[in-house]
Amino acid sequence: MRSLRFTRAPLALMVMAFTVASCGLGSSSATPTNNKDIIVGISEPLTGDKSDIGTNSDNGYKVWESVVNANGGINGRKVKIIQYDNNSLADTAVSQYQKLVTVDNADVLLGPVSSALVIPTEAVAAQYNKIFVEGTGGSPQVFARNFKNVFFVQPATVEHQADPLVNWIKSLPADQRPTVAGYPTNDDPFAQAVVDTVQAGFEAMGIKTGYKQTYPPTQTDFTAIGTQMKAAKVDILVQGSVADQDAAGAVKGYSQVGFQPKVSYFASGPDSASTWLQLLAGKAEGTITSLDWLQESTVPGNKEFVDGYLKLFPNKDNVVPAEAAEAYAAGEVLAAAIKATGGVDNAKLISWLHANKVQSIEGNFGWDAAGRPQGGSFDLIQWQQNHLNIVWPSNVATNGGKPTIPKPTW
Amino acid sequence: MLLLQGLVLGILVGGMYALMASGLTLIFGVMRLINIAHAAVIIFASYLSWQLVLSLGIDPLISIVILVVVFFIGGALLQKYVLSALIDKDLSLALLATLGVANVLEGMEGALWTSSFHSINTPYAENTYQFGEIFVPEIRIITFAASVILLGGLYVLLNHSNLGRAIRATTQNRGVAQLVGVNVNRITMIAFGIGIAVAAAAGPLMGMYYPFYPNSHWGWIGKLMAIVVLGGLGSFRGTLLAALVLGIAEQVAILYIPANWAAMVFFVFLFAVLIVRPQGFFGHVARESL
Amino acid sequence: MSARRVLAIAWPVLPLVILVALPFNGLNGYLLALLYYTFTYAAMSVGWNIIGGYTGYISLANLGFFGLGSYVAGLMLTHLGWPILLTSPLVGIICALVAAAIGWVALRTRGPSFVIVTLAFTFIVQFLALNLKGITGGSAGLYLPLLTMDPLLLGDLFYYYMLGVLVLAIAVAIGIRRSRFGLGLIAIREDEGKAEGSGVNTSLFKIVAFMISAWFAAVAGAIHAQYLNYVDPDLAFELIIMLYMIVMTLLGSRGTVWGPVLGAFLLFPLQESLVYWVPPAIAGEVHLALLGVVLVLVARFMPNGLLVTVQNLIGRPPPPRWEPVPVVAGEPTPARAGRDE
Repeated sequence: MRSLRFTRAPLALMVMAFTVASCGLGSSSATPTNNKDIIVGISEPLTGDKSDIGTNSDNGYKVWESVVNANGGINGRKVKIIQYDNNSLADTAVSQYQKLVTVDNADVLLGPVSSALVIPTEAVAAQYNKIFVEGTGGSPQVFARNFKNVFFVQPATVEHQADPLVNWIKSLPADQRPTVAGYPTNDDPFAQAVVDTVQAGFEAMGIKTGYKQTYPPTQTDFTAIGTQMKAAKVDILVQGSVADQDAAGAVKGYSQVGFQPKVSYFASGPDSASTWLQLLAGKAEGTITSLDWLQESTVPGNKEFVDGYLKLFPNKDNVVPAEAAEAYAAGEVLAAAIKATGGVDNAKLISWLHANKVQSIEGNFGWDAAGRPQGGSFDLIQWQQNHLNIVWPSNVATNGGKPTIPKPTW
Repeated sequence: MLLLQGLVLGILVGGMYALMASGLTLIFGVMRLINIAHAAVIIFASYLSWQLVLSLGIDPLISIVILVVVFFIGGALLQKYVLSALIDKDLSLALLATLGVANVLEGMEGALWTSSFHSINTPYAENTYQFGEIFVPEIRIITFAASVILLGGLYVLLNHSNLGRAIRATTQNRGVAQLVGVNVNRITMIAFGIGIAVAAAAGPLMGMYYPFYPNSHWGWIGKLMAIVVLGGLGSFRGTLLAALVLGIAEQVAILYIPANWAAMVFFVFLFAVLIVRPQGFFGHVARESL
Repeated sequence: MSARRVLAIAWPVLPLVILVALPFNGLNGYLLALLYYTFTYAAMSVGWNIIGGYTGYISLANLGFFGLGSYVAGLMLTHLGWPILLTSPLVGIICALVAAAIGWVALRTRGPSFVIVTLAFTFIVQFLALNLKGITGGSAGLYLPLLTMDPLLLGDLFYYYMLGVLVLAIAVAIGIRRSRFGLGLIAIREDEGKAEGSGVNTSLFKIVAFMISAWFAAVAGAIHAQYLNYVDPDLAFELIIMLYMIVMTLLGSRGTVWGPVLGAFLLFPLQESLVYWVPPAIAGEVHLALLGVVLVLVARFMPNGLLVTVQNLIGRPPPPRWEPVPVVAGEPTPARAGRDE
């Protein structure tokens, strides 16, 4: 009899569990299908550690949806976005793309923010042969598996992000060039790719490497790194930062130990407009980074985007984040392909994008077989008198800007 | 020069580590409980201090006073209504409850303040003093001094008051303490409250030192555990010494080995201690054999 | 054999038949994925329960074994070309051997060190995954070749594979429960000193329990690596995975065979659908906080878990389980406190 004790309650509870489970699933699988709408599936990190950029990017997609629909849709069909929050968790993002394809019958997919989330989810899209356009996951690994269905919408891959920095330094007279470079790098594929190309370029023109080290993503204390670079007489800093936080932490640490390079380039950080100023105040002056898009840019379609963004998401500084522009551009690219092929046949969309250049607010460029952008380039921007100016190449410089060298002390 | 700079920075950061870890060791002492939420409490206090600066303009050093009182009450209530019942029944349930508390705090911080980095900025801590080749940031002197003052207060409380004597008696042997007339339950509640209050005091200082975000407490709890094990679980003196040793070891190591390996220093110490000298510098045996 | 007795032994066949039959009724890719995750968590929770429930030692290392399993399997695939679906049992054995070494440091003796060592172990494995770049690819992670197959068939494959692992986990849990080994583990939980006195080799028993527990976490990690075709140091060591194992076991009923399974089948679908109910901007954070709240509430008010509590309610004497050692109010027994002697 003893074993009988195990019986009923578990059975009853199991049945209950199943019922609850299937209720939850049933209610979530209701699909709003209107044959005329183009269903676009997206999973974004609106919570968790990528929530800031995830929300920015998601807002960009929303602006794209509203602008497209205000203009009568694509080929007369309205766009309808179905979007879920993946909590910055890759497994959740994967199952949500499964859901978008198999339950919600999404016609096309747009990608989440960050390489870390693009890499696992692009494989789902590849398995279902769905087109997957994304604006913010550009690390080399995104393209390593040669998926045909992936398209990265920035002017160049991250390896070429800092090309304008190398070109600018090369253009300086030999006696003005910095001589020793320091490369502290966040342990992140994106940051490492940026820094490695710069290092190769600098070493080729005779700039010595005084410091090259990787710091963990959790690094918050940069005083020791600053001390070492100062001891190594580093005069050009190329920081492989991944966010405004580690970049700002670095600036604070360096200024505390008196490390004062002539040029300070950050892979990421100074581009985050008002946040950067807020974090650093006067110490922001002279910091440099590369940019794919500037709010004041006169690229076709940019005004419509910026106005649309500020209408939907008004903020007191009237700032439009770069991730929103990248997402919006991904939408533009997708729309161009749908318009040209006259429908949402994914195979046609994919081959059309492999064969054509598209003008978006990120620039005018096409893609290679693995989805790497071809034919675009980044610009160099610098903080000058609390304002971000394009300073290189000089033909696109804003406000007649030229790079300030040496930069003021921080 | 490099080494000296590392030593100075190590001692300064070690003072703050000592404050962060001393609550953990106190709680372990009286309850035999490893408070997994300890670092989460510290981070939560950092957030509250950040919010107080932003909305009421209260200086983070002043906010310590407010936070200590609030967190003492909160900690004592948590102990009285949740943990004490579990301690008597099953210590592992209490441990899991602290794990739950850590996640509640983390989730709440994310919902209230988003997951991006925060850091507490003060107008007066921007300076750096220069002594020859050595740079000493003002902010670190301030946090070090505040830590030393708070730890001094805690030391006096534990060693020169009736309450302190009762706490130490409870730490050494609950049964005997009860026999000599100590109200062990009440003392445990108060001691837990003090442990949480000390964590709260460390919060604003930590936030002035380092940026924080909701799940940064996981990195901290690993460091704090290494400190209390090295010091000898439950030993206050041991924790102070261990915090200084590890603070210096970390700051010096980062000068000579790649920055991404320096974090390993804590775990190397942790395992070495557990294998070689389980009782740490002083105090209890972490890996006891009965 | 009476009909009741047959029912008592054979009832799990019914849910099993349902689960085996489900994919034939046109489950879509999403439901396949959802059930696959549920099986994964259920199998890991059953495994965690063997050390955390039967033996009473709180392990925070199972997350480390999950991640280690992902990496070992991923590396064997990328370097040697061995398919993960075949090597996963071997991966489990490798991780179980690591568990033996960790257990040797932490489990030979009693005391609080176990929880500290297991948490440190998880951090260290993650740390090494991040920093041994030459081997693991560092933060860029490992990219695994895709299994080329129709996506729905692929979903079926993972579904049945993890269902098999779950059935195995439950069979092992039942087997342990009915063996002398299992009795020894429970004796350790109830009173380790007495267990040792009555001739149980407590160190060996604890280490073996820890190894079995690690095996299931590692196998789940290995399969998950292939499922995502990708391993990286964040993904393989998400702390929420550890939280799941513990909350599911505790909610279901710690120390019982079916408790962790019940916990997983209740909690995972619920949390998964939470995203679709709660305002998206806070869903993720609410979800994390809710798991914490559930953990605290269950620990405080229903420490026996759902299964045992319901059994008590409907008046059946529960199976031998977590029995608190009687204490004088306010004075913990010497076995639990006062470890200074």
